[in-house]
Amino acid sequence: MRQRIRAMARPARAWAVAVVVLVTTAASSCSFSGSPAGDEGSDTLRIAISSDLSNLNPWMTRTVAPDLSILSQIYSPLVVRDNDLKLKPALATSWEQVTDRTWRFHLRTGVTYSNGKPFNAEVVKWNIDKVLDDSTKARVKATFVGVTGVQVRDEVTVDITSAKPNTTIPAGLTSMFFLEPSWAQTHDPSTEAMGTGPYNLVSWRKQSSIVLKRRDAGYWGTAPAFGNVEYRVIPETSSQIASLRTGEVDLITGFGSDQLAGLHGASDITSGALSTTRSAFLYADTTKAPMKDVRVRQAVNYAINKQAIVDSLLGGNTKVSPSGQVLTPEYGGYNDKVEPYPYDPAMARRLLAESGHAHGLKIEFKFPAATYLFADQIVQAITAQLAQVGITAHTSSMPKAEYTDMNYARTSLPDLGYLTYSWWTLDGADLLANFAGGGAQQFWSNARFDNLITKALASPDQAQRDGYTLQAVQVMHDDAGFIFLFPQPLTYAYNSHLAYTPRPDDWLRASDIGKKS
Amino acid sequence: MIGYAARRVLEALVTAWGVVTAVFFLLRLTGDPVALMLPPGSSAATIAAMRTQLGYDRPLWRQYAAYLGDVLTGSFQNSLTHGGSSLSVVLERAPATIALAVGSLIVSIIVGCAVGLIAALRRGRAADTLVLVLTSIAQAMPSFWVGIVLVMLFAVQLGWLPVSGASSPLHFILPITTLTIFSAASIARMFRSSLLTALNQDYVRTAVSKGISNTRTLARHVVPNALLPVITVVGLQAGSLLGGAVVTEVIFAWPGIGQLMVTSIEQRDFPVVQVAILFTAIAFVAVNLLSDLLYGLADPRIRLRTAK
Repeated sequence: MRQRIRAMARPARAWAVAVVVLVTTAASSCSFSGSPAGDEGSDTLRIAISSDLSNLNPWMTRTVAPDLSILSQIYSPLVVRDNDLKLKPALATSWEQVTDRTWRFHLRTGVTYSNGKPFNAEVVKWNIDKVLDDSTKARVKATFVGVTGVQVRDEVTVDITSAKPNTTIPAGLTSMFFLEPSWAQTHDPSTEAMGTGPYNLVSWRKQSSIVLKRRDAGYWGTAPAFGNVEYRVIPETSSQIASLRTGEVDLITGFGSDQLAGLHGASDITSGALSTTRSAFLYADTTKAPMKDVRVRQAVNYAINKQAIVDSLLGGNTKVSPSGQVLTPEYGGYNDKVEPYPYDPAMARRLLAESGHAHGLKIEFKFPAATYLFADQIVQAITAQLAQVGITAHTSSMPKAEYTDMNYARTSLPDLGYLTYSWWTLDGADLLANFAGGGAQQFWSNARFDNLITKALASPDQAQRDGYTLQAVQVMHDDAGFIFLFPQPLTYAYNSHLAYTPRPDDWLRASDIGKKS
Repeated sequence: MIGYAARRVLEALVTAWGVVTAVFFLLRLTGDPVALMLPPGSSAATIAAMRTQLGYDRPLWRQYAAYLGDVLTGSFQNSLTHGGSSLSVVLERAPATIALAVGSLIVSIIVGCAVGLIAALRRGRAADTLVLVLTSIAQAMPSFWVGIVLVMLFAVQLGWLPVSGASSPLHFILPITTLTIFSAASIARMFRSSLLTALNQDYVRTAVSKGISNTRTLARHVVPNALLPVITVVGLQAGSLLGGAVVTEVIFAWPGIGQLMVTSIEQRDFPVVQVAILFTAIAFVAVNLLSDLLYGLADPRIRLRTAK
């Protein structure tokens, strides 16, 4: 038998050779075209995005990264938030509050869509009317809460009126883009795009790439540096980093802090992390013991060594400061007198003892999986630090969708939950209103806080509004409404030939990126 | 043969219905997508209005009945995030997944059969041991790890191949290799053991003693018999590859159904998840049905046994 099998080995060898020949031919015929890795088109900017654009229709998305950031290259807003986070003119050249319920916008003249049609006051009215109309089901409608109507005063002037005083209407308009009415009625804006922005859409290959080409002429602003922009959908961060290293993409953001160290040595790559306008904190379920007791909430605030967490996350190469409030310094109403709770485990133990938990405490601590940058490491560190003062946290993650539902329903909440928050108007009262009475995320209730927020929202001018917000921040801090942590850090890395300044909010505009000469 | 085929088709339909039903109810276990679709800070009334508008406030059995109706008529709900018909959203991704599946299947069959044949013919010798060790390792390596290692080696270090995307034939090499490593190893092990069984059969001894040449014995009597279990293994691999190799697609940013399913589940885009899983289920059931029928064709004994 053995002899026979060995005898058969000869023809087998011939088969194997044939197979090898076949495979090699197949493989080599596969590589006939195909650009080599790292093929450089120096006039093309390639940006990695971890999830695809959800919709081309700017009315149908409220997500700044990546949706509105990409759409801002095809469409333009009336008001734009610049790299210094200040509001700057875009399609509106100036704006003012004519009464406490009316904002007047003066529009730029001579702006045309890429199909040659003009942009004017009628276009603004048509767009906002459509968005306010319930049957449109527009997602940006939430930007216009309280807006009652738009009046055309002349070709280049529009008034926007609201039911109550609203000082944040210009800030809200940074995420509203304008479709050309005649085009929008004959085309499907969710699969096609045509706007007043610096680029035209070339192609959108779903879950793969979005390609833009610079408008040749007729753009109202300064022409961007790159002639072409390609957004590449790469969900996996290790693949994003590999793509950056091979030159397949030029810019990536939001990868794990552990990968930052590896990128530091890489030649031709600039990397780092910055403090953002998104705040990280823990909410506490104050409807039941033990978090009902302010001393327990304060104890948790004292027990967490925020600086140590930030330093170990980012290796100390970025300044992210511990915070004693939910607002970051970029917000109107940020209170710079409010100090973070210092790290003081002895104080934490004393407060726990006073509140009747001298022999320790068991709590439930939840966070959403794969949602917030660095959440796993932050939550682990907090759990360990709580253990040192005698709080045993049972820490677990939940799917993002279930976590969101639970927080909205506010039933069967854990004692502590990890959350991050930012608000596109960069207005403190707007953000804090979510946590006040009647807000969607009221985990903690305090009549003084609610009252101050109500007054802030109804204020006719920003200074008065910010004044109330400052006080509300102080009340929330003193009553330990939340467990305050720090602004959420954001990691970035880009090809050193880009002239790029990372910004603390979610906007990432290709037209802001230049070439280093 | 017709009775056999009819019974297999009926079984396939029941399986597809079971999958569709299980997916429907499993998705609903996690709640509805409304809260995720609205911006943070939306009021309870807005959320309720959206829920009514999308029909998620109806009793579960009515939603289920409506969904079964959709499946039977082929008119599916629109995608919640992409706007358009969820069927077209899924079908747009299908070519990328099919190209990857067919490519890696062809390479796996060629490599797997070649390796299995060599091991069987060299049973107990160095080549055989090497094959056994290497295929065990290949089957034990998780695909996310293999994929990342291949990227680090061939894209980052050597710069030969692109990291991610699907825009040129070169982009196929790393994902196909990742998928092939596992599939080829399963095929090789299965082919080796079935070859060894076939080599010991009486009909082989008879053939050799009749004086038929070794090549002819191998080609006419050993290999065809040994291929039967391989058909089953290939069928299973094909089914799961057509359903979108989820991990591989995510690592290589492959614009296929696997990646679509991951993002749609995260966004609770129920209509898309349901259609994508329906596609997967149909692909799986169809390929298995095909391999069962092939089995019957290739082996008259199965045909005859079931015909009784």
